Amino acid sequence: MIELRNVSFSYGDKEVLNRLSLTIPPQERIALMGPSGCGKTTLLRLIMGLEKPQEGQILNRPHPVAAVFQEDRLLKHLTVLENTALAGGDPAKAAEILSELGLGDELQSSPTSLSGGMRRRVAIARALCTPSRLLILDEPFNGLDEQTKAHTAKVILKHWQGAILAVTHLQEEAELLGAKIHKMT
Amino acid sequence: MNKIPTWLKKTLGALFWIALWWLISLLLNKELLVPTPAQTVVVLGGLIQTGDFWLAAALSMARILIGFLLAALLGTLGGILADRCPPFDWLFSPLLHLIRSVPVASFIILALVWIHTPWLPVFISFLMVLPLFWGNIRTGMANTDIKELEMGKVLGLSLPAIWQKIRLPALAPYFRSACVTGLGFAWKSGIAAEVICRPDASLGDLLQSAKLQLETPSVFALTIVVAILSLGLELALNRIWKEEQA
Repeated sequence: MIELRNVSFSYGDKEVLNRLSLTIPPQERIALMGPSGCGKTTLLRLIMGLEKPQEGQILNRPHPVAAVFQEDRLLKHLTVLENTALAGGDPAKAAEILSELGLGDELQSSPTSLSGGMRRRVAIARALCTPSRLLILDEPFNGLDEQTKAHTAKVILKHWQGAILAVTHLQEEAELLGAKIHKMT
Repeated sequence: MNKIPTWLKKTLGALFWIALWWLISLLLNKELLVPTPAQTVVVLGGLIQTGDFWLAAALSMARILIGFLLAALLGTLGGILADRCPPFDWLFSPLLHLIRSVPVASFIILALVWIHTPWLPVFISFLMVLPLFWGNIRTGMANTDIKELEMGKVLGLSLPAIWQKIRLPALAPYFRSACVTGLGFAWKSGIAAEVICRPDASLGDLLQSAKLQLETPSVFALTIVVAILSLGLELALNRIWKEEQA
């Protein structure tokens, strides 16, 4: 169980999180929702270990974390398959997930030759191949049409057995992941 | 004009300058000042038939390449350390500024006092190329995409994997650029050092001897040899990069 206790964080004088507490049980799915600038991405960065809380504690922080960042962050010099298996994932499993996400013909392609929606799915496949107990999704369905969103959510839920913490602006996306909504203000 | 092949454009450009050279030499009509291209080619033809010339060319190239490779190795390590360890950067930054701003001739004359003659061109080539690799690699380290590094850290990539998959590909263009520019630097400074310190069996010594004996066509021919060797190495390097990328 991952636990945030009274976590506060500021960028300079700008307070982003104030004594926030959150528990993420194993296999729990949580969707963080709230207006832009309310600290959703900062919270994810704290859990990923990219920032340190100025006050409070994060207990049982997982490492590594399977993460889909706001940007795809794919490596241009690697193929789609190499990007997907980057974190030491089994290439056969990576190929299987990519095929399920409709990218079976692009395994040896460069990410630069893909559309934005395809790159997004590669980033999701890479996270699904990362051995972790927590999957972080920061606006995972950006650039995907409604049908692809639904299909991608199914693939995520099929291949991910651990906890999920997602940031989204749309309630439908949270519902696709079957996630409890946690509103941030 | 865009339909003209690149090789033809380059050949036409070179022919224009050779024609201009020819014209100037004909107008002056003094071999001592400016020999004609034909006279230079005849001297060059004679030079390449002597064993001494090939020995000098091989040893000059070896000295310059040793200096260049040492600079590439230490400059790369220095650039990486300068980015990772600020005190190291503060310590060496003034020295690198000094090397960049002091004329090469001053270093050659100073180094003549300290270094055994055959090793001087090695040292001078090294010294002139070192700041280039150092600076380029340091810039490459600073410009590595922080988001990619964060991704590697979060997904749990090991340190060697982060270097192999993220750092080194990001540094490669900076390293290549330093190699191409550095080879030219190494040649110019290495030959200049040879001309001044005159080690046995060196192109610089042949150049200086030709100058002292007022054999201007030989000076021209040897200068062309130096330019061809420098260009040849640069082309070979570019070919290696292209094959690697293919």
